[in-house]
Amino acid sequence: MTVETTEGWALAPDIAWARTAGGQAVVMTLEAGQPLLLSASGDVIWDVLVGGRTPDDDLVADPPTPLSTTTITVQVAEAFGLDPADVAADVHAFLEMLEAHGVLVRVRTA
Amino acid sequence: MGERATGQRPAAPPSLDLEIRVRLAHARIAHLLGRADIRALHLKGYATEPGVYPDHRRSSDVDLLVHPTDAAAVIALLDSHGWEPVATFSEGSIFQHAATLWHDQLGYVDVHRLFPGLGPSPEAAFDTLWSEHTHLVIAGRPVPVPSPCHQRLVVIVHAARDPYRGAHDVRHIRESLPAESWAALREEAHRLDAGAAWHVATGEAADGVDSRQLTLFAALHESQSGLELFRTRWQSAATARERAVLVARTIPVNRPHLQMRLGRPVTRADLWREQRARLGALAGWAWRKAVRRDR
Repeated sequence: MTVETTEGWALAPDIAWARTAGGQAVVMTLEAGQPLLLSASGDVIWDVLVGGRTPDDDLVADPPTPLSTTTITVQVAEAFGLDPADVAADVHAFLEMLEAHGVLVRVRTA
Repeated sequence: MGERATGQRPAAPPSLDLEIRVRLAHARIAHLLGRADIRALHLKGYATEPGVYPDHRRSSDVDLLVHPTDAAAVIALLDSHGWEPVATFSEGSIFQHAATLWHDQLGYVDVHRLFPGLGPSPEAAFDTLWSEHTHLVIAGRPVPVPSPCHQRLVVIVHAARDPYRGAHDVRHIRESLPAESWAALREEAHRLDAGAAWHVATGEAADGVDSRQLTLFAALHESQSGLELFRTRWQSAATARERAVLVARTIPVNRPHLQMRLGRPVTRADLWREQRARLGALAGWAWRKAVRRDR
């Protein structure tokens, strides 16, 4: 029997995040200490990545489950009321941007 | 430690909300110090559980309390991760209790090597607070903080030096706690040798409290400054050595404080004028004291 694996994403172990009064997410790797203010559409993707957690929830004790690119894309498309194919490229570009900043790590999900 | 401070800060503040920067700073500092196995307690502000302060109370910096023997290592570590020394311990308050550092993105942190008014000694105070410490999640990360009881006690002890916001904070704690919890807090204040600060902050009876400490905290609560405060500190000093140290520390001009007062970078002429004024005031005070003694 073969088990199919696919590209997935997990939060890097050493990140912190907060929300502005206006609800925008700000993420930061603890090593670099350079906050990134996410855009409104980036916020939607971030909410999917953190699985509904808030900054008052402990990422160390209870980290979010890694998600596949497909799962993230489908959930983001649902949030915007669009077809997954319409958001896939933007979602992937955003995930890669977070990866480049050390906020996300690429994993393989079953 | 070899003290180094710039007394300067960036001209353009970062665009992020101050609250966000402070919260992220708590998380990053806890991570860096935890990784280095250095014990540090985050005090006051966002490092308190809900209810300690009135709603919507804002905080402007991170306050850290460290064991005095770790203070130099903490500052060196923060310095190596982007926090620039702004004021050294000797340039800080009259207690020389905290050094201030600035991070371009994350703002100010005050590193306390002691907490004025708390504990028979800085070492004992830290060890007692640490022995009962807990964690609070800030920006998604666990941050070491004092126990809920000690969080409130720290706010009250600090209020003895901060009569404006402090009075409001003390009133909030007193009104939000059941009588038995308030009594337990008072008992804890006395157990931690914080009776003088407790009395000054709360206005409650000062039975058995060190009168010199009481005089000093009362002066700070009244916002005494300059020669008036020096006089009180002279009277509060227990030994000739303490008085000698007081004079030695009073004479040098505190450059960061002067800069804050002037609202611009300090020039050599400013330093000269300030130094001359200080020496003149001290000399006048000493002269009047000597004349009174001769009479």
